[in-house]
Amino acid sequence: MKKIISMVMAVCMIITCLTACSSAETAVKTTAPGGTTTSAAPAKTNAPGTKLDVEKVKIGVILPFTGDLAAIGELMWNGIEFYTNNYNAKGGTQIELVKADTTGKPDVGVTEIERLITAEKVDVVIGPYNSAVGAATAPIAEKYKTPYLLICCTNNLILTNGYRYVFRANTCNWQDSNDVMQVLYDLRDRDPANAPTKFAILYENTDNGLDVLKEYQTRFVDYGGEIVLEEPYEADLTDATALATKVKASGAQVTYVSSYLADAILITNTFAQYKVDTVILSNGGGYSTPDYVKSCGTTADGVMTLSSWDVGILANKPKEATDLNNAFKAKYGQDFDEYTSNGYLTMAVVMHVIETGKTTDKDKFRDTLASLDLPPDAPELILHPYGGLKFSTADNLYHDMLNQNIYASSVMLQVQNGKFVMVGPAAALKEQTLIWPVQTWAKR
Amino acid sequence: MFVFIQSLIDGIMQGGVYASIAVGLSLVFGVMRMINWSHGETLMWSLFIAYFMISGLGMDPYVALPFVGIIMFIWGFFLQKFVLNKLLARDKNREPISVLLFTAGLGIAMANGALMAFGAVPKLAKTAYASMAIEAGSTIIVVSKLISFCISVIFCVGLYIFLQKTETGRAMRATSQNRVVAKLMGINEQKTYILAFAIGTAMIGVSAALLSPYFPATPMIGEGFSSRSFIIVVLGGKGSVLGALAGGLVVGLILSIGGQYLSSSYAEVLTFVVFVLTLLFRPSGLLSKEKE
Repeated sequence: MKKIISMVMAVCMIITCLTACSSAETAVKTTAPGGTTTSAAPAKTNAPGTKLDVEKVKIGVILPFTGDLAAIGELMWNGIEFYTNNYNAKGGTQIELVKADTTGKPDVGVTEIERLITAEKVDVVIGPYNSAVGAATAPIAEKYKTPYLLICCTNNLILTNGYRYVFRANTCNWQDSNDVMQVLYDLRDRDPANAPTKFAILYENTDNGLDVLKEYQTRFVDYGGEIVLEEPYEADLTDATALATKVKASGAQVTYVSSYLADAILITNTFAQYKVDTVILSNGGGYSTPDYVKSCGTTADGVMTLSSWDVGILANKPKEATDLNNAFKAKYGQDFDEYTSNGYLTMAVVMHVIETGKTTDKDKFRDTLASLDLPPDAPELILHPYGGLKFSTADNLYHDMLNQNIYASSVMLQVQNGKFVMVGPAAALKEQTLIWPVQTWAKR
Repeated sequence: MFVFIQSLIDGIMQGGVYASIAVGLSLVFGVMRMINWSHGETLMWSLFIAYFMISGLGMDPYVALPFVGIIMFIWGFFLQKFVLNKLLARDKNREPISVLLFTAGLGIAMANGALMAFGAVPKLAKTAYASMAIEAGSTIIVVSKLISFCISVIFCVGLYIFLQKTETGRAMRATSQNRVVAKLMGINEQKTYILAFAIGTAMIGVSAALLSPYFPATPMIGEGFSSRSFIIVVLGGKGSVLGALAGGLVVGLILSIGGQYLSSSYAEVLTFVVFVLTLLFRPSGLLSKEKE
């Protein structure tokens, strides 16, 4: 019997360890917390004509590979891995990715980024998706003077601390809220009789949630709307009924909410069950993932969400962008999305900087990155609708933020017949696609 | 006023389901004096099993219910028989620390095992009940939640009758009151533990099938239900089925009405305040075993 118990406990331990480790097809080092590392493939030697004088570039990828946010961590990893595979296949300098799992928690993130920098000695760190971890890990990267490119991590406040080594190529909360409001302003101009005037804001009881609340409190009032409800909630909901009944009682025509995927699904379905006639409006999070529409289907019809990416963007991009998306879809079974594209973008920026500076020296990397000024048709921006890539400077802060890409922007999607349709910005569309007003539950 | 009535109805319905989730924990705690830290993760796995039966085999969730219950009964049976009984025997004359540690580790393994097996994407079964609701004026009663509540209460009451009226049930209650004397009376302690644990896990399976029409299965959801179940067990008194039902209703009402008039965050805090007050002033629970 002791043997059986020992075997059961050993199996439990092995399963737990296996969860923290994974194999990859590229030259990827996978590292479980605690520092045990394995390499999946050896680095190649320099071929003649290689752009760099280094054999390999070591990039620390700090993401939530397990935990509640693992679904999005996995998406980002796919984008990063896809770029890496393509880059390494060209020969010459090789990218080595070192994984670090934050589990979505700031304290774990701090330990992991410290390990990446001091033990793994990575050249650059990219990640970590959620702003709570971003805020906790940014000072660590700054302390060790290691370039740190944030992926997602949209909280404005992270870049208001004057960190010289922390950058963000994708949008921040300010830009996201700007893009959200632009769609509402366009709607009001086009259809003033039906434009929304009553807004509810549901926000997570976290730093980022409060940052978002502050953004939209100002934005909705400037728009001329009335905020009829501001309601905090704890992530990982087990029941969204109270939120649904409160929003219903408030009479809000539009409910702004940003949630992770499980909460997004629960809130959407609960609103449907209680026939809450409000349009959910989000700046992304779980609402902009393919799994959200897969799970909710037509129940989510009418929901509007910001996203860094949509297949509709390809209409205004060169053929190479469509080819890239098709290649990605062939490998991963779905189009790019907000998270995969941001992972891809960040890798593209990192390698562009390294190729430009021809070095992995951290200070030179930082300086090269800070001085980047890419046009909108740069290869690195092939997937994104940005007006370019240029980081704000100490002399020219962007809404108090240092090292924020001042040209980052998003598109607005709406769920129609269980699928995402790009509905904004108006300038990017050939025809008006937004369905407004959204059908009430009584008529569905 | 309609808001209060809506909250009241929602709280009662959700509380009934919380009760059916917690009653297994209460039974195990009462009979074996054992805390099963993998309780929430067992619910999580049951949710996945229910999901695959509904989505993969096309079963109705209420048809899948007995099957999920049986699967989890078997799981509990073997776990108790081949692992937990041995650990309890080892810790016979002291606090069951080994069991505590084992179930804690098992919970972690189950959560991460689910993550590996099913991925991190939440899985919500598409059923005909998903958006069915009864509208009574301004009040909405979600059909799936109403059915879940009714079945939860039936199972809880059924379990209560089983414990009160059957020989096996009386043996379980006797063991929970005094295992030494129960043994002297000829009650097989080991078999009683196996049955109690298996019934507990079967109740978790039933609860998961009831949740499946409206609650997505995700690998990390177990922790939230574990903590809620512990609160309900303390409120209701360990080993008390009717206590678990009452505790579940109390928690459901606090979360619903508190969430409506304060916020979801404060409502959660309120449940812990009630939990602490109960521990301080009525540690035996609202409907402790001594009263039954």
